[in-house]
Amino acid sequence: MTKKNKSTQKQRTSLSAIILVVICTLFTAAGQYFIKKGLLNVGNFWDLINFYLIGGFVIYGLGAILLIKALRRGSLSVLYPIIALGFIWVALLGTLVLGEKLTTLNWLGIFSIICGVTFVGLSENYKGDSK
Amino acid sequence: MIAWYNLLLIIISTMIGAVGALTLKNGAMNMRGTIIQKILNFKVWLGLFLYGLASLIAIFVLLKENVSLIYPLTAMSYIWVILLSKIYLKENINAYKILAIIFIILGVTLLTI
Repeated sequence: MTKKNKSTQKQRTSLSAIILVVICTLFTAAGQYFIKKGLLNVGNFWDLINFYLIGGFVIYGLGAILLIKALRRGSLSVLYPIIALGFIWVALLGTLVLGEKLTTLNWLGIFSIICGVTFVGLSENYKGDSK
Repeated sequence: MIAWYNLLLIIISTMIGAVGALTLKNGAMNMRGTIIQKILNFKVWLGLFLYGLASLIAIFVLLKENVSLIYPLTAMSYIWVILLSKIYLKENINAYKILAIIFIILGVTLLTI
């Protein structure tokens, strides 16, 4: 009985959980970049053991730990959509590091994702959210 | 135009990813005991595995189809996660969350065209 009550209890998402997910998306984007860089000049099996590839997986793993920590402190339906920020970091990395050009529509896309993540942040304080 | 089997694969991938997120959340909530017990939490690893599997399927499809078609479709996982959270975690769906998903899917679409 108490167990059932506990599992259905409304859990409020703490601000720290949201910040953890945001940092997690930064880690995942950086990890992806390192892994891609690490795979670029791979000729044989031993080339796989290189700084970028191993570093990339370590950063990825740290991101996973941050996500798990965040999920312990907040609702999944609030925290999960924030992962969409990753799309923005990857696009910005592409512009800053690889010199890829972003079109006006792309920037609108970034703005739209930011709006979406803002809405999901607001959803916790929404009056209809409790009970 | 996207081949129907690739469309099906990407939809299945988003569903696997969403189940992975739910499993990870369940595992995260059940982590107790010593640090070793926490690290060996089965649901956490299952969740991460499903997550990885979903990514692998998505990468497989990305190799054959256009990025600007596939990325917006992968954003479907947000819909599944909000539905699964409602059903299994008794979390609310409210207007903000629906708006959030619409804006995110629109954003991912604009970002990849």
